[in-house]
Amino acid sequence: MSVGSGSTSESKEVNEVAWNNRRRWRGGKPSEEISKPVEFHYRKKDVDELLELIYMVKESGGEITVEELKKKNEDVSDVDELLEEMASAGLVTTRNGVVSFSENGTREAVKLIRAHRLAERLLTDVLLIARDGDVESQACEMEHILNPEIVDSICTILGHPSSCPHGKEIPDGPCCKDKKRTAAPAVLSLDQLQTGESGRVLYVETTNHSRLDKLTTFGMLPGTVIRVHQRQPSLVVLVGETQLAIDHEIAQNVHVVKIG
Amino acid sequence: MHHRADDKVVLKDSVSEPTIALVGNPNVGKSVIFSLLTGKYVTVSNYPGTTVEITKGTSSFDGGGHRVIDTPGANSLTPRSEDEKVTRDLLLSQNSTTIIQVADSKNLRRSLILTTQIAEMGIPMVLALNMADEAKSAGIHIDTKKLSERIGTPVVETIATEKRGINKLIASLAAAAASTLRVEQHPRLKVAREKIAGILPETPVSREAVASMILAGDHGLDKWLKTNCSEAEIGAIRAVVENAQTHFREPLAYVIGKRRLDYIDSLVADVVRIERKENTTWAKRVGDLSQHPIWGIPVLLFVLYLIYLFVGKFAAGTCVDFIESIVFGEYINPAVIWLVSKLPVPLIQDMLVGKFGLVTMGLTYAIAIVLPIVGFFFLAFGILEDTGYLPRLTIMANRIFKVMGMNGKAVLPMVLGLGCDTMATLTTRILDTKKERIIATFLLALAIPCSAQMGVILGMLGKIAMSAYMIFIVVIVLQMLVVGFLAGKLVPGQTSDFIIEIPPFRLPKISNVLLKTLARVEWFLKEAVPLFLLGTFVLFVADKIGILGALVKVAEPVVVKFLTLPPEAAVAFVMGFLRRDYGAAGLYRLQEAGLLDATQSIVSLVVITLFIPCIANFFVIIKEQGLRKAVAMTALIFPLAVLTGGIVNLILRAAHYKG
Repeated sequence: MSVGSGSTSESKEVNEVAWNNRRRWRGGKPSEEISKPVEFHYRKKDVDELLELIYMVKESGGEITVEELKKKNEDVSDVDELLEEMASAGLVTTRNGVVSFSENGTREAVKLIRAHRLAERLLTDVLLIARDGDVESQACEMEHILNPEIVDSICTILGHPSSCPHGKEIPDGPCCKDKKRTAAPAVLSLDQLQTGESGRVLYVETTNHSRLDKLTTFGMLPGTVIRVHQRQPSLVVLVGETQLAIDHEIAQNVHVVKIG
Repeated sequence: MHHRADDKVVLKDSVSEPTIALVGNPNVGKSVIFSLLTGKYVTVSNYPGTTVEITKGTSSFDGGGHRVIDTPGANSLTPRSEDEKVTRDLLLSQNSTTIIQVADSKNLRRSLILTTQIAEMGIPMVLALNMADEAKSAGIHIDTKKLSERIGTPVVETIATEKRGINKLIASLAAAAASTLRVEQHPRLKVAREKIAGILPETPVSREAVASMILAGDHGLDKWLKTNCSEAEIGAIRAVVENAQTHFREPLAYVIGKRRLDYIDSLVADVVRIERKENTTWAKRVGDLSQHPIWGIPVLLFVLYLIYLFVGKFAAGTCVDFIESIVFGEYINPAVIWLVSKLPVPLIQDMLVGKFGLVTMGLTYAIAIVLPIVGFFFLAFGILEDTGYLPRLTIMANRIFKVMGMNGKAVLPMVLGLGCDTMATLTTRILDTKKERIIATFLLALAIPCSAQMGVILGMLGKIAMSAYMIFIVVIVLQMLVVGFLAGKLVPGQTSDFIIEIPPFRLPKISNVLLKTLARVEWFLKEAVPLFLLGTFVLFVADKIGILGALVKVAEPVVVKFLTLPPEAAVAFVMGFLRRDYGAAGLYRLQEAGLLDATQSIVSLVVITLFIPCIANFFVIIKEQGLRKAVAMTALIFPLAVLTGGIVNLILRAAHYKG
């Protein structure tokens, strides 16, 4: 028996289906063109770190002064020089010792912060890296080399988390704003599971203490398998033999990987 | 619906008598076991939150050698709601206590969370694996011997509702021991715990346990800390907690809880064997149907219709007719009148059998009109409670209650209010935030008719038409929604998260339902009948010295002009100050006498339903919320009731409603 041309095209089709299945979290779409690899050199890393620092100071509501940046960035000796360089690149402006972002600067900083915090989520909750130090050092490396498209892919796989493991906000990317959510994430929030589906909890995302407490006492913590019993008029889930009715809003904080 | 006496002692030893405390997650059967250990009946239902206060009794198995305490269900000993706090405080306040932890065998994992906390306290305990039959039929097999070895305390399987395993449980008390279950916490937390334990003064339970609670952010302990530690010590403790927190990204309570659960998961995997069975029983199907987004509504309507038939038609119609017109009308009252006519003083004659006679009015209202209605309502309600239908209503109503500044959990006190508003006001403790408790208390006092009142209402409306019944429900529900919506906006504070356990649907146990009904009827006879008599006496005196006449005159412009009711209705409203069902019974009599037409019946019932809370309810509101809030609520409710009645009157008159 020889392999005819018909079966070749058939196997091609099968291949296509298999690929589409594997790409189902991207909505079956092939990956987009990836922008040119970022040229990576030492100086850029320093600039990036400073951009991030400014972002975080701004986030915590403090005033961004050159003084403050120097204090928090002791191991870099030439902060003044760096700032000048960044100013000439149109990233920041400095007036009377107070630093502020330009539009470009904000965009760059958001990109970096987003990459860093998503990397942290990926490393802690999906790849289960236990040591905090390892997570931090890896995330610090990754933020400089990841392209925005790949960052979006990670974001999608993780189910568009809104906070990093430390509870800090992850800025939205274009993938989060896609309301139709054409791409299906591998990590879902509990309220995205359909009736009858089960998921294993990967991480719980909330800074609300009493909510965390309740989830803890009802045993809805990482590792627990939860089955969705009904979705309307309230979400009802099964944890072991216990039937629990919970708010959709709380279920959005519980991120699971679907297991059937 | 009769709980009393709670201790407010925290962290001090009160009694030397050996005590057995029943502790466990909500709805695992603590109260059933309490009844079996003491021979004293306490309300048992199939939903969490039946017991919100501590109930005490004396052991019957050893001739009263122990004090037995039933506690409200607690998911954690780091409490977040009032009823959980009651349990924790109790454990911290007793020295010579043995704990029987009652666990749901189907839910060993969650029960063990509590076990780890009790173990840390170092209190001797026994673990009762209750509902062993339900676990077996769900395919869950627990190796009790192995579990007992692992946690270092006796473990006994029980089926409390069938009295199985209770003797074994009692026998095991002798071997009660502090559990050896210890969850290895993160080294940094261990250090922090030791440090805090070193600062703490003498505590009745192990210092480590109290230190763990402080680490987990238990602010219920703040007060105790303030009275027992110096400013500097508190500062030092706080510094340790804050320092510990800097090493973790999640809150410490979560870190501690997660470590516990990881440990428990490995323990459960070791002692529990599960054979997956896909068995859909009829009970499961009915349960699912009653919480179904579409079918749930017809089920609710069907249940309401059944109650209407049973209480409104049968009890309030047939039974009341028989007792009132035959038993009282033809036998008791004529006999009493004949007897009384032999008495020399006409004033006493009048007092007993006159217009406001203790027998002809007070007793007749209580026994002939209200008692049969209440009795049958309690029966119907008891059946509903035992099936587990009530918590399913929380699923259906969560969204609506969110609009009213509460969450679905508040359905429970609301529905319980249909039994007795006073008891239900106590049940508001299961709600997590102050705001929710205030709104629930207010709406209970305003809009929820209690069983006695509702029975009378059902009876009166049943005589008009089904449409009257619908109008009445629509008015009350609308009122509740509007007021609730405003309260949700105006009352400051937060709405808590909605997570509630839905118990399995069960066939009610006839013996429990009957016992519960009897206990409630007894409570009604003890509490309500004397008030009916007292009220009648007050009315009699007021009538004689002319105050009643004056009051009716004052009320006349409102009652007659605004509400278009006969002036006699004012008397019924005055009676409503005492007990709302008493007032309703007065209206029932008016309708019987043909003094109220369809519209007037509905208007008067709307007013009496929304009317100010009865005296007992008022006192409980003071107890739970303070005098100021209680007075403010009453001051709001009174004009609201009259205004709503007036509006309904205008609309029905404009529509020429004839029933």
